[in-house]
Amino acid sequence: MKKIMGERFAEYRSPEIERIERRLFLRRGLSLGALALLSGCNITDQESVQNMLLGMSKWNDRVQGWLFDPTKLAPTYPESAITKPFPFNAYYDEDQVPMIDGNDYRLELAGLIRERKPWSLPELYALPQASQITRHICVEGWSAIGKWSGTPFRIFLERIGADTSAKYVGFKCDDDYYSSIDMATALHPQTLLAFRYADQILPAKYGFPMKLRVPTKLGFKNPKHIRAIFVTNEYPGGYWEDQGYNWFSGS
Amino acid sequence: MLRSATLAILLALVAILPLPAAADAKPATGADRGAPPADTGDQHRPMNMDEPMATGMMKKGMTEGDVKKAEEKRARQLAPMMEKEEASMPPPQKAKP
Repeated sequence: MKKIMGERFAEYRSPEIERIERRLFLRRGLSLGALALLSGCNITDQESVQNMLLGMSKWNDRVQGWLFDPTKLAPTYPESAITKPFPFNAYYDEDQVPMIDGNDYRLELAGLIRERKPWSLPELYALPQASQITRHICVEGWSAIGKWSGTPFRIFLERIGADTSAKYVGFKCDDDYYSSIDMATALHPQTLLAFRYADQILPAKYGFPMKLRVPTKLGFKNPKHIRAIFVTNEYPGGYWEDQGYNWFSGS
Repeated sequence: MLRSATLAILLALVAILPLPAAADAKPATGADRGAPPADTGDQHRPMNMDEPMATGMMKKGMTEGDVKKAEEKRARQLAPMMEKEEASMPPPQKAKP
Protein backbone atom coordinates (compact mmCIF):
# COMPACT_ATOMS: atom_id res chain seq x y z
CA MET A 1 0.00 0.00 0.00
CA LYS A 2 2.75 2.31 1.04
CA LYS A 3 4.66 1.51 -2.14
CA ILE A 4 1.63 2.24 -4.29
CA MET A 5 1.07 5.57 -2.53
CA GLY A 6 4.73 6.41 -2.97
CA GLU A 7 4.66 5.61 -6.67
CA ARG A 8 1.46 7.59 -7.11
CA PHE A 9 2.93 10.51 -5.19
CA ALA A 10 6.02 10.39 -7.37
CA GLU A 11 3.89 10.34 -10.49
CA TYR A 12 1.65 13.18 -9.29
CA ARG A 13 3.57 16.44 -9.43
CA SER A 14 1.33 19.39 -8.79
CA PRO A 15 2.09 22.60 -10.71
CA GLU A 16 3.04 24.24 -7.37
CA ILE A 17 5.71 21.60 -6.70
CA GLU A 18 7.07 21.99 -10.24
CA ARG A 19 7.31 25.76 -9.76
CA ILE A 20 9.18 25.29 -6.46
CA GLU A 21 11.55 22.82 -8.12
CA ARG A 22 12.21 25.20 -10.99
CA ARG A 23 12.98 27.98 -8.48
CA LEU A 24 15.34 25.66 -6.61
CA PHE A 25 17.04 24.72 -9.85
CA LEU A 26 17.50 28.36 -10.80
CA ARG A 27 18.81 29.27 -7.34
CA ARG A 28 21.24 26.39 -7.33
CA GLY A 29 22.32 27.20 -10.86
CA LEU A 30 22.98 30.82 -9.88
CA SER A 31 24.87 29.75 -6.76
CA LEU A 32 26.94 27.27 -8.72
CA GLY A 33 27.71 29.89 -11.36
CA ALA A 34 28.79 32.36 -8.69
CA LEU A 35 30.94 29.76 -6.94
CA ALA A 36 32.47 28.74 -10.25
CA LEU A 37 33.43 32.38 -10.80
CA LEU A 38 35.16 32.42 -7.43
CA SER A 39 36.84 29.06 -7.74
CA GLY A 40 38.06 29.93 -11.25
CA CYS A 41 40.75 32.13 -9.77
CA ASN A 42 43.29 31.77 -7.07
CA ILE A 43 42.68 34.62 -4.64
CA THR A 44 46.34 34.67 -3.72
CA ASP A 45 47.19 35.44 -7.36
CA GLN A 46 46.95 39.21 -7.67
CA GLU A 47 46.85 39.22 -11.48
CA SER A 48 44.02 36.72 -11.77
CA VAL A 49 42.03 38.60 -9.13
CA GLN A 50 42.57 41.84 -11.06
CA ASN A 51 41.52 40.17 -14.30
CA MET A 52 38.40 38.75 -12.70
CA LEU A 53 37.48 42.13 -11.22
CA LEU A 54 38.09 43.87 -14.55
CA GLY A 55 35.95 41.27 -16.32
CA MET A 56 33.20 41.88 -13.79
CA SER A 57 33.58 45.63 -14.23
CA LYS A 58 33.23 45.30 -18.02
CA TRP A 59 30.11 43.23 -17.56
CA ASN A 60 28.92 45.88 -15.12
CA ASP A 61 29.48 48.52 -17.87
CA ARG A 62 27.29 46.55 -20.27
CA VAL A 63 24.51 46.14 -17.71
CA GLN A 64 24.62 49.83 -16.81
CA GLY A 65 24.53 50.71 -20.51
CA TRP A 66 21.43 48.55 -20.98
CA LEU A 67 19.75 50.04 -17.91
CA PHE A 68 20.60 53.65 -18.81
CA ASP A 69 17.47 55.57 -19.77
CA PRO A 70 18.53 58.40 -22.13
CA THR A 71 15.38 60.36 -21.28
CA LYS A 72 15.48 60.05 -17.48
CA LEU A 73 16.70 63.27 -15.89
CA ALA A 74 18.97 63.61 -12.88
CA PRO A 75 17.36 65.54 -9.98
CA THR A 76 17.70 69.33 -10.08
CA TYR A 77 17.75 71.67 -7.07
CA PRO A 78 16.89 75.28 -6.12
CA GLU A 79 19.66 77.90 -5.85
CA SER A 80 19.31 77.75 -2.06
CA ALA A 81 20.60 74.15 -2.11
CA ILE A 82 23.95 75.04 -3.73
CA THR A 83 26.95 73.90 -1.67
CA LYS A 84 29.15 76.85 -0.67
CA PRO A 85 32.02 76.76 -1.18
CA PHE A 86 31.88 74.13 -3.89
CA PRO A 87 34.76 71.70 -3.24
CA PHE A 88 37.88 71.56 -5.34
CA ASN A 89 38.93 68.06 -6.32
CA ALA A 90 41.69 66.82 -8.64
CA TYR A 91 44.67 64.50 -8.52
CA TYR A 92 46.90 67.52 -7.72
CA ASP A 93 46.72 70.40 -5.25
CA GLU A 94 44.70 73.52 -5.89
CA ASP A 95 47.81 75.67 -6.39
CA GLN A 96 48.86 73.36 -9.27
CA VAL A 97 45.74 73.95 -11.37
CA PRO A 98 46.71 74.53 -15.04
CA MET A 99 46.77 78.21 -16.00
CA ILE A 100 45.28 78.53 -19.49
CA ASP A 101 45.27 81.68 -21.61
CA GLY A 102 41.74 82.02 -22.96
CA ASN A 103 42.93 84.22 -25.85
CA ASP A 104 45.13 81.50 -27.31
CA TYR A 105 42.88 78.63 -26.43
CA ARG A 106 41.49 76.44 -29.21
CA LEU A 107 39.35 73.34 -28.66
CA GLU A 108 40.64 70.55 -30.91
CA LEU A 109 38.39 67.95 -32.53
CA ALA A 110 39.29 64.53 -33.89
CA GLY A 111 37.92 61.17 -34.98
CA LEU A 112 34.46 60.56 -36.39
CA ILE A 113 33.65 64.27 -36.79
CA ARG A 114 32.96 65.93 -40.13
CA GLU A 115 33.90 69.53 -39.18
CA ARG A 116 37.18 69.24 -37.29
CA LYS A 117 38.23 72.88 -37.28
CA PRO A 118 39.41 74.12 -33.85
CA TRP A 119 37.02 76.31 -31.85
CA SER A 120 37.93 79.52 -30.04
CA LEU A 121 36.23 80.50 -26.78
CA PRO A 122 34.14 83.37 -28.29
CA GLU A 123 32.81 80.87 -30.88
CA LEU A 124 31.91 78.42 -28.11
CA TYR A 125 30.30 81.12 -25.95
CA ALA A 126 28.08 82.07 -28.93
CA LEU A 127 26.43 78.64 -28.98
CA PRO A 128 22.98 78.15 -27.36
CA GLN A 129 23.36 78.08 -23.57
CA ALA A 130 21.52 76.29 -20.76
CA SER A 131 21.93 76.13 -16.97
CA GLN A 132 21.46 73.39 -14.43
CA ILE A 133 21.69 73.00 -10.65
CA THR A 134 22.60 69.40 -10.05
CA ARG A 135 24.48 67.21 -7.61
CA HIS A 136 28.06 66.22 -8.29
CA ILE A 137 28.65 62.79 -6.74
CA CYS A 138 32.24 61.71 -6.09
CA VAL A 139 33.31 58.08 -5.96
CA GLU A 140 35.21 59.01 -2.76
CA GLY A 141 31.88 59.23 -0.98
CA TRP A 142 31.04 62.94 -0.86
CA SER A 143 28.68 65.00 -2.97
CA ALA A 144 27.95 68.70 -3.55
CA ILE A 145 25.37 70.72 -5.44
CA GLY A 146 26.46 73.34 -7.97
CA LYS A 147 25.23 75.49 -10.83
CA TRP A 148 26.80 75.02 -14.24
CA SER A 149 26.00 76.73 -17.54
CA GLY A 150 27.08 75.97 -21.04
CA THR A 151 25.95 74.48 -24.30
CA PRO A 152 24.04 71.18 -24.30
CA PHE A 153 26.62 68.69 -25.55
CA ARG A 154 24.13 67.18 -28.00
CA ILE A 155 23.85 70.55 -29.76
CA PHE A 156 27.63 70.84 -30.00
CA LEU A 157 27.99 67.30 -31.37
CA GLU A 158 25.34 68.00 -34.00
CA ARG A 159 26.97 71.32 -34.90
CA ILE A 160 30.35 69.72 -35.59
CA GLY A 161 28.86 66.86 -37.59
CA ALA A 162 29.84 64.13 -35.13
CA ASP A 163 28.86 60.59 -36.00
CA THR A 164 26.32 60.11 -33.20
CA SER A 165 26.01 56.42 -34.04
CA ALA A 166 29.60 55.94 -32.81
CA LYS A 167 30.16 54.28 -29.45
CA TYR A 168 32.35 56.71 -27.52
CA VAL A 169 33.24 60.33 -26.96
CA GLY A 170 36.71 60.92 -25.53
CA PHE A 171 38.27 63.92 -23.80
CA LYS A 172 41.89 65.04 -23.42
CA CYS A 173 42.60 67.70 -20.86
CA ASP A 174 45.27 70.32 -20.20
CA ASP A 175 46.16 68.67 -16.88
CA ASP A 176 46.93 65.40 -18.79
CA TYR A 177 43.75 63.83 -17.46
CA TYR A 178 41.68 61.87 -19.98
CA SER A 179 38.31 60.18 -19.89
CA SER A 180 35.49 59.01 -22.13
CA ILE A 181 31.75 58.43 -22.06
CA ASP A 182 29.22 56.41 -24.02
CA MET A 183 27.34 58.14 -26.84
CA ALA A 184 23.93 57.74 -25.11
CA THR A 185 25.21 59.77 -22.18
CA ALA A 186 26.84 62.32 -24.50
CA LEU A 187 23.42 62.91 -26.10
CA HIS A 188 21.55 63.03 -22.77
CA PRO A 189 19.64 66.34 -22.42
CA GLN A 190 21.50 67.28 -19.20
CA THR A 191 25.03 66.64 -20.46
CA LEU A 192 26.61 70.10 -20.78
CA LEU A 193 29.81 71.49 -22.19
CA ALA A 194 30.04 73.91 -19.28
CA PHE A 195 31.73 77.32 -19.56
CA ARG A 196 30.38 78.91 -16.38
CA TYR A 197 30.03 78.09 -12.73
CA ALA A 198 27.56 80.07 -10.58
CA ASP A 199 26.97 82.40 -13.55
CA GLN A 200 30.68 83.35 -13.72
CA ILE A 201 33.24 82.23 -16.31
CA LEU A 202 34.48 78.88 -15.05
CA PRO A 203 37.27 79.61 -12.53
CA ALA A 204 40.58 77.79 -13.07
CA LYS A 205 39.97 75.57 -10.04
CA TYR A 206 36.68 74.33 -11.52
CA GLY A 207 38.07 73.59 -14.97
CA PHE A 208 38.60 76.77 -17.09
CA PRO A 209 37.99 77.06 -19.98
CA MET A 210 35.45 74.24 -19.98
CA LYS A 211 34.44 71.05 -18.28
CA LEU A 212 31.99 68.37 -19.25
CA ARG A 213 29.15 68.37 -16.75
CA VAL A 214 27.46 64.96 -16.68
CA PRO A 215 24.96 64.76 -13.79
CA THR A 216 24.14 61.15 -14.63
CA LYS A 217 27.71 60.02 -13.92
CA LEU A 218 30.19 60.08 -11.05
CA GLY A 219 32.49 63.08 -10.70
CA PHE A 220 35.59 61.56 -12.31
CA LYS A 221 33.58 61.24 -15.56
CA ASN A 222 33.30 65.07 -15.64
CA PRO A 223 36.66 66.08 -17.18
CA LYS A 224 37.94 69.64 -16.61
CA HIS A 225 40.28 71.89 -18.66
CA ILE A 226 39.21 70.09 -21.84
CA ARG A 227 41.69 70.56 -24.70
CA ALA A 228 40.42 68.02 -27.26
CA ILE A 229 37.26 66.05 -27.94
CA PHE A 230 37.15 62.98 -30.17
CA VAL A 231 34.46 60.59 -31.33
CA THR A 232 35.40 56.97 -31.91
CA ASN A 233 34.33 53.35 -32.00
CA GLU A 234 37.64 52.32 -30.40
CA TYR A 235 37.43 51.99 -26.59
CA PRO A 236 39.26 55.12 -25.34
CA GLY A 237 39.41 54.31 -21.60
CA GLY A 238 40.26 57.02 -19.13
CA TYR A 239 42.88 57.60 -16.45
CA TRP A 240 40.95 56.26 -13.45
CA GLU A 241 39.09 53.77 -15.63
CA ASP A 242 42.45 52.33 -16.75
CA GLN A 243 43.39 51.96 -13.08
CA GLY A 244 40.37 49.73 -12.43
CA TYR A 245 37.56 52.18 -11.70
CA ASN A 246 34.33 51.27 -13.42
CA TRP A 247 34.12 52.86 -16.89
CA PHE A 248 30.37 53.54 -17.08
CA SER A 249 30.13 54.86 -13.49
CA GLY A 250 26.54 56.06 -13.56
CA SER A 251 25.52 58.02 -10.46
CA MET B 1 20.52 26.21 0.55
CA LEU B 2 19.40 29.58 1.89
CA ARG B 3 23.04 30.49 2.47
CA SER B 4 24.08 29.66 -1.09
CA ALA B 5 21.14 31.60 -2.51
CA THR B 6 22.09 34.61 -0.36
CA LEU B 7 25.71 34.34 -1.52
CA ALA B 8 24.62 34.22 -5.16
CA ILE B 9 22.36 37.25 -4.76
CA LEU B 10 25.13 39.17 -3.00
CA LEU B 11 27.59 38.36 -5.80
CA ALA B 12 25.06 39.40 -8.44
CA LEU B 13 24.52 42.71 -6.59
CA VAL B 14 28.25 43.31 -6.30
CA ALA B 15 28.61 42.72 -10.03
CA ILE B 16 26.07 45.39 -11.01
CA LEU B 17 27.18 48.07 -8.54
CA PRO B 18 29.51 50.78 -9.96
CA LEU B 19 32.42 49.70 -7.78
CA PRO B 20 35.92 51.07 -8.11
CA ALA B 21 37.24 47.64 -8.92
CA ALA B 22 40.85 47.93 -7.92
CA ALA B 23 41.11 51.14 -6.01
CA ASP B 24 41.82 52.11 -2.44
CA ALA B 25 39.11 54.74 -2.22
CA LYS B 26 38.37 56.73 0.92
CA PRO B 27 35.39 55.50 2.90
CA ALA B 28 32.09 57.23 2.22
CA THR B 29 31.48 60.20 4.46
CA GLY B 30 27.94 61.08 3.38
CA ALA B 31 26.41 63.84 1.31
CA ASP B 32 28.04 67.26 1.59
CA ARG B 33 30.50 66.04 4.23
CA GLY B 34 34.15 65.21 3.92
CA ALA B 35 34.57 67.15 0.67
CA PRO B 36 37.96 68.71 -0.03
CA PRO B 37 38.26 72.42 0.87
CA ALA B 38 37.75 74.96 -1.90
CA ASP B 39 40.22 77.58 -0.65
CA THR B 40 42.37 79.01 -3.43
CA GLY B 41 46.07 79.46 -3.02
CA ASP B 42 47.55 82.71 -4.33
CA GLN B 43 50.78 81.09 -5.49
CA HIS B 44 50.76 78.92 -8.59
CA ARG B 45 52.99 75.89 -8.41
CA PRO B 46 53.86 73.75 -11.43
CA MET B 47 52.92 70.10 -11.47
CA ASN B 48 55.61 67.96 -9.86
CA MET B 49 55.75 64.63 -11.66
CA ASP B 50 57.28 62.83 -8.66
CA GLU B 51 54.84 64.23 -6.12
CA PRO B 52 52.25 61.83 -4.71
CA MET B 53 48.74 62.46 -5.98
CA ALA B 54 46.39 64.56 -3.89
CA THR B 55 43.23 62.52 -4.14
CA GLY B 56 41.48 59.79 -2.23
CA MET B 57 41.09 57.90 -5.52
CA MET B 58 44.80 57.11 -5.76
CA LYS B 59 46.41 53.78 -5.08
CA LYS B 60 49.53 53.60 -2.95
CA GLY B 61 52.61 54.93 -4.75
CA MET B 62 50.79 56.86 -7.51
CA THR B 63 52.43 60.15 -8.49
CA GLU B 64 51.19 63.14 -10.46
CA GLY B 65 53.41 62.12 -13.37
CA ASP B 66 51.59 58.80 -13.75
CA VAL B 67 48.64 60.54 -15.43
CA LYS B 68 50.81 62.05 -18.19
CA LYS B 69 52.52 58.70 -18.83
CA ALA B 70 49.17 56.87 -19.02
CA GLU B 71 47.71 59.52 -21.32
CA GLU B 72 50.64 59.29 -23.73
CA LYS B 73 50.44 55.50 -23.78
CA ARG B 74 46.70 55.55 -24.49
CA ALA B 75 47.13 58.23 -27.20
CA ARG B 76 49.75 56.04 -28.96
CA GLN B 77 47.34 53.08 -28.88
CA LEU B 78 44.44 55.10 -30.30
CA ALA B 79 46.31 57.12 -32.95
CA PRO B 80 46.28 54.60 -35.85
CA MET B 81 42.58 53.80 -35.43
CA MET B 82 41.70 57.49 -35.11
CA GLU B 83 43.48 58.20 -38.40
CA LYS B 84 41.45 55.49 -40.12
CA GLU B 85 38.23 56.79 -38.61
CA GLU B 86 38.96 60.35 -39.68
CA ALA B 87 39.70 59.18 -43.21
CA SER B 88 36.31 57.44 -43.29
CA MET B 89 34.42 60.69 -42.62
CA PRO B 90 32.98 62.79 -45.47
CA PRO B 91 34.79 66.12 -46.14
CA PRO B 92 33.57 69.24 -44.30
CA GLN B 93 30.68 71.11 -45.91
CA LYS B 94 31.76 74.29 -47.67
CA ALA B 95 30.51 77.49 -45.99
CA LYS B 96 27.82 79.28 -47.99
CA PRO B 97 28.96 82.70 -49.35
